[in-house]
Amino acid sequence: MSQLIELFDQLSQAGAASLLIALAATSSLIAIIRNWRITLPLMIIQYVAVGLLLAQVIEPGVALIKPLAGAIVCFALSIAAQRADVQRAERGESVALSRLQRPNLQRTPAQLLLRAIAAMLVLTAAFGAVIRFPLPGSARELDLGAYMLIGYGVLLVATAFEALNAGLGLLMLLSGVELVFIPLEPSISVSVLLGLMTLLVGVAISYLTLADGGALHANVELGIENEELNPQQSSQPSSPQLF
Amino acid sequence: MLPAALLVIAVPLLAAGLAYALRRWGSLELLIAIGACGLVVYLLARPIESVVALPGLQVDLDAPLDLLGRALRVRAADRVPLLLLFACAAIVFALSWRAPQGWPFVPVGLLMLAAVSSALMIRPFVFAALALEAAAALAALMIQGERNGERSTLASMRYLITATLALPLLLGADYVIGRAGGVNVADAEAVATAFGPAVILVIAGFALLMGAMPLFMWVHPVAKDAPPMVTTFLATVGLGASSFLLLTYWQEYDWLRDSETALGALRMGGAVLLLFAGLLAWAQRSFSRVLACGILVEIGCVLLLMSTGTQVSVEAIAFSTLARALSLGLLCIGIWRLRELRGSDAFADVRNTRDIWTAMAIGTGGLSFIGLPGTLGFVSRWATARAYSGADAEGLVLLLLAGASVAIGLLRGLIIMFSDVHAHVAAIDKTAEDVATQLSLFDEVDVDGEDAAPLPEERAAGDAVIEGEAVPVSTAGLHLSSVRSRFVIGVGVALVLILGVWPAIIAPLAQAAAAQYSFYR
Repeated sequence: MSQLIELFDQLSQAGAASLLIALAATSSLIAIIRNWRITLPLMIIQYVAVGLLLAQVIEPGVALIKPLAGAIVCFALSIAAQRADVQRAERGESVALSRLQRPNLQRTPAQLLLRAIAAMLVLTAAFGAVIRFPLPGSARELDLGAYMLIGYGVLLVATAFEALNAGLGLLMLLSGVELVFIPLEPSISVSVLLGLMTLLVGVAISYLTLADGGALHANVELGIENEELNPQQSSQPSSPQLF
Repeated sequence: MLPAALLVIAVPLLAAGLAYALRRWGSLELLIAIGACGLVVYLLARPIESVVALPGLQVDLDAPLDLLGRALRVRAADRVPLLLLFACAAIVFALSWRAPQGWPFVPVGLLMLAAVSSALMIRPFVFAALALEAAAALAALMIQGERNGERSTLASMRYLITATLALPLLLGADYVIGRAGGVNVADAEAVATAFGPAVILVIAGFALLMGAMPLFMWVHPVAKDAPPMVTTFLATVGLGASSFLLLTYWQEYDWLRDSETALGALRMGGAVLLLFAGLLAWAQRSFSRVLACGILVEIGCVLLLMSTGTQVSVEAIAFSTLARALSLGLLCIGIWRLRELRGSDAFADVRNTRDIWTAMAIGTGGLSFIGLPGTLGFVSRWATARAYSGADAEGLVLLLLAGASVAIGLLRGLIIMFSDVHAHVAAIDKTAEDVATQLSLFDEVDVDGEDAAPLPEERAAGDAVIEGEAVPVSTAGLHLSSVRSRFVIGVGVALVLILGVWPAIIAPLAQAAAAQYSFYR
């Protein structure tokens, strides 16, 4: 554990610019792409970047709580999303697959373009907010990171209607709040409790993701068992929902 | 010697684990939950400086519990509010006997109870905000219950999003309060400047938590989609916890209760909620929508009472929390029965239900909820009227009209429940026949042939017709007709009426809650 903390400490010295670029890139991609197979790994990268930014103002051992909690949440969310996908595939409701097979070229790019423009606007607004409304008590890099995460979080919550994507927005919002508040109140108890909040909200979103996919009470088994039950349906790759 | 704060948190947590393990046996699960709430109520009912002897352990009510370097303590001001919240939870759990509300209701409800108790006991307030966020995450599970399917998560997500948006506001308020701590309190202008942002953040944060802002953000979807007793739980325990926490802020901070901005926002918020709920309630077309309007009236009422800041108003808030648990619980049991009978509580779908026990629950609970004389709710409304009449007569009139509007909505639903579909269909048949006969003067119309309006052929005696389909009205075979289910409704109705006639039985609790606050003296 101590080696992990040491590594985390060394990584946090890497400079804020690269971490902010990582935050901006992951947040933008999560806001644009609605495929959990892409967004959840991006969320883990984002949690690591947030943890490294926090390690610049608090103890690295405490800052490590954030990426650990985030990774656990993303793992739980991936299981829930997988079960929901399997359930949808069993019902033959793979909207994303039909999109891939019969792409509506008039509609899909418009949605994508709209989200991309909104993401760019949020990024611009975050830059503007850092200059006009600097947050108290923290470095400017942390301000920018916080504004980006809060802005993208609100954007996702406002535009996504699925529990998983809206939930990712909530988690990003929480990360942004942590970037603002932890430098102001650098106590271990606050950091631990905020990490616990991430876990609890993650559990709630996982449950809601299952409900969204109709997999709360379904006897869904992942992978091989499902294939044995219904080889024709499950032989199709479960739907990568790119957009 | 154990600190009482530990038991207040640990007892519901342990009971939640037990209830989850025994969730297959619904009655046992509820018994555990009610027992846990009863134990905490018993502890909190003792004088604050006393030591309570339980089998195998001594409990010191006043001792602090150290958790993550912070002290949790059952303070004198928090004792009665905590007791009221646990009593409300016990009432809601008891009313849900034989009325399953989804597996998360009891275990997650107990966890939520532990979280809101921590919010009331812990200082500084930053931790209270975090505990309320934890409670909201748990509430999302309760709201979802066992429902599946796309768009089924709307209510849960709305609740979670609202509470999460409140979190940064309350954290920000805590920071501003901490930073402005050294300001000279004698300098009114300096105080207003230093604490101005905190006032806005606190009021906005609590408005989000209570569901007052934005209008219909979570109240409407939760009332419509969540299991009815979960709605009751949130409207009593959740709303009660937020109200008492705001009262604690009120007690703690002079600048907050002296702030014209805060008082004006509370008055305005309360009036807007009453106005909207009053305008919409009478015209709603389902019991759950009327229920949502009723809850908004309650929230508006709490905000108006907060703005007066008198002893009577605090008593009214405490009394209404307890009264709401019983009245709203009874109303929601009725709504639950309707959903079980007809799969919906929309007025169009409950026509000719004619279930007397359901009607009794909705009638007594609903009318008590809006404050009909002779019921428990009337005492609560009377206390509110006493508290608020001196401050603003127009607001009081608005409150009464909003209550009347909710009553009209409920009565419309009750009348429809007992309206005779067969007579209605016969009347339509006769009208159609008359029209057809008159038309036949001009042209040949086959009244009984293909031109006649089709009626469901398989309709049997006692069946209702809902949107062209015959639906059996008989409730035989359903567990709704069980003696225990009727017993719960009977006891609930009796309590609402008895406590309405003798409110002195629970009034001392409300007085004790108010006596702990000194800001109005």
